[in-house]
Amino acid sequence: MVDYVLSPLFNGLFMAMVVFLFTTGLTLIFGILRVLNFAHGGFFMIGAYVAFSVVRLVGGETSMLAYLAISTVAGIVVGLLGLVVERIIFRPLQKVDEAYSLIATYALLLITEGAVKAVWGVSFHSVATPDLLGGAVFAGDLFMPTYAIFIILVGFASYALLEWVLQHTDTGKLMKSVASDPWMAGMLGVNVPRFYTFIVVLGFFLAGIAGGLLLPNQTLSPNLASTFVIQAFGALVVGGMGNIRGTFLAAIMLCVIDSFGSLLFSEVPGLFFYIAMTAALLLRPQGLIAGARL
Amino acid sequence: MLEAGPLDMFYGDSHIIQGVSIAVREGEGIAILGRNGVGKSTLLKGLMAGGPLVRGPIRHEGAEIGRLSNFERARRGFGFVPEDRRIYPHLTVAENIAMSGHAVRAGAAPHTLDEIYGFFPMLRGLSNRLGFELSGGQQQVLAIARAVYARPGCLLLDEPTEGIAPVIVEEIAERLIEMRRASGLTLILAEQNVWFARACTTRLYLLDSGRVVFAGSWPEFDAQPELSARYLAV
Ligand SMILES: Nc1ncnc2c1ncn2[C@@H]1O[C@H](COP(=O)(O)OP(=O)(O)OP(=O)(O)O)[C@@H](O)[C@H]1O
Ligand SMILES: [Mg+2]
Repeated sequence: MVDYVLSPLFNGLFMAMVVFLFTTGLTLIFGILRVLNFAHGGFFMIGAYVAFSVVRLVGGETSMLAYLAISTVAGIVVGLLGLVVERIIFRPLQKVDEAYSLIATYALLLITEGAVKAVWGVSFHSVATPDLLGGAVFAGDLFMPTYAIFIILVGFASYALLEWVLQHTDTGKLMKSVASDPWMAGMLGVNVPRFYTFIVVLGFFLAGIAGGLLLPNQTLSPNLASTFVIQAFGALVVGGMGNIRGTFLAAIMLCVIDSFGSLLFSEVPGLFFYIAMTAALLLRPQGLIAGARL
Repeated sequence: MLEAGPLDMFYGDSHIIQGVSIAVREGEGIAILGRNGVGKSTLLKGLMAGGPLVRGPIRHEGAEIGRLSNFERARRGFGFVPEDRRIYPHLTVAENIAMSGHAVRAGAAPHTLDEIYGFFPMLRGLSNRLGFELSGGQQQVLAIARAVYARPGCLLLDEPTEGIAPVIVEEIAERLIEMRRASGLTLILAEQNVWFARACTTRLYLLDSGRVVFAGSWPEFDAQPELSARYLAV
C-alpha cells in the first residue's frame, strides 16, 4: 500500500508542485501576452543563482525566515530583469508574427545561460535545506521529507492565491479581460502596454521566487535553465495554453502518472510523463481547460 | 470638436478609405452611411487607432491626435462601440460597464451605475448577469451603456441597429436623442438604417468604395432621392 500507492502519490505531488511553481510565470505571460517565453527557465535559474549568492553573502546561514526572504529577493531581482526584457524584447514582439517570439526568446535563453556562466562560472553548487525543512515525517511507513511537504503546501497555496486573485479581485478580472480582448480594453481606456509590462514583471518575479524556493532541491549549474522545460511546456500545453487552473491540474495529472509509471518501468525515468502527455493531447487536443484564458 | 482628413486608411495593401474628410462640431450628430463593405467600420476604427494604417490629419479640440494610441484617445473623451460589441463574457453587466472607468478624463468622474440604469432601464435587472448570458440586443445596449459610463465627449457607434429587434432600435434612438439634448454629446454614427440615422443625427456623409459621394444635411439628402437608390438600396 505505502510502496505502491502513497509513496508514488506523494512523490508525484511533490514533482507536480515543483513543476507548477516553475510554470506559473510562464503561464501568466503566455496567457496574457501570447508570448511563449523560452527563456523562462533561464530566469528561473538566475533566481536560483541570485538566492545562492545571497546565501553565501550571509554566510550560509539558512533559517526559515532567511530562506523566504532570500527567495523574495531573488524574485525582485528577476522581476527587475523582466522590466528590461519587456522593454527591449517583448514589446517589439507584440507587433510581429508569433514565430519571431520563439526565436527571440530562445536567443534570450542562450544569453541567460551565457550570463550565468560569466557571472557564476560553470562549477556545480548546492545549498543546504533550511533547518526547519531539513527533517522528515513518517506516517506509518510513508516517508515524507519536510521540504517536500513544504513545497506541496506552497504549490497549493500559490494556486489558491492566484485563482482567488483572478476570480475575485479587480486586478484579476482586468487580467482576464486584457487576456481575452486587449483591443477592446484599449478602446475602454486601459493602458494595455503598461499592463503588459506589469504582467511580465510579475511573471519574472514568480520565476525568480520559484528559483529561490526550489534552490535547496537543485544542483546549481548552467544546465538548470533546461531542467524543467519539458515538464513546464507539457503542463502548459496539456493545461490549455495559458490557463492557471489548467496548468495546475495538468502538472498534477502528468507528474502523478509519471510517478506511478516509474514504479513499473524504472529504466526510463520520465517515460510516463511523455505517455501521459501524448494521451492527454490525443483525448483533449484543446487542453484540460479549453477556451478560457488564465 | 473633431476635424479629420483628408484621410487614407489601409489594411495591408488594400487602400480602403480614400481621401475622406469629416468634421463634427461640439454637440453635433453626424451619420456615416453606406452599403456593406464601403469602409464605415474602417473609418471609425481608424479614428480610434483600432486597426487600419491611417494617413492624414486628425485634430481634436485643436490638437493633433493621430499619433495617440487607442487608450489615449479613449481618455480624451472618445467612447467607441464597435460593430461586434465586444462585451466581456466573463464579466457581469455592472463590471462590463465599469470597464470604461479607465477612460474617464483626468479630474472627471464617471456616471454612477444608478445613473446608467436610469438611462438604460432594461439593464437594471440584468446587473449581475454575465456577459455571455445576454441576448444580442441586450449586448448592444450594454455596449452603448459601457461607452457612456465614462462621460465621453464624443460617442462613435458602429451599426448599433444591426440584428436588433425594432423595439430596442427605437429605445436606443430615444436614449441617444435624449443624451444629446441633455449633455451635449457629440455623435458619430455608422449606419445602414436610414430611419435610425435620421432620428439621431443632423447631417450625413454617404460613402461608396471608401470615398465620400455625398455630404450634407438630411433635407439636402432627401432632395436627391437618386442617392438613396444608388448608394443605399440593397
Ligand atoms: N481587418 C481587415 N483586414 C483586411 N481587410 C479588411 C479588414 N477589415 C475590413 N476589411 C476590408 O475593408 C473593406 C471595408 O470594410 P468595413 O468593415 O470598413 O466596411 P463596412 O462599411 O463597415 O461594412 P459593413 O456594413 O458590412 O459593416 C472591406 O472590403 C473589407 O473586406
Ligand atoms: Mg462595418
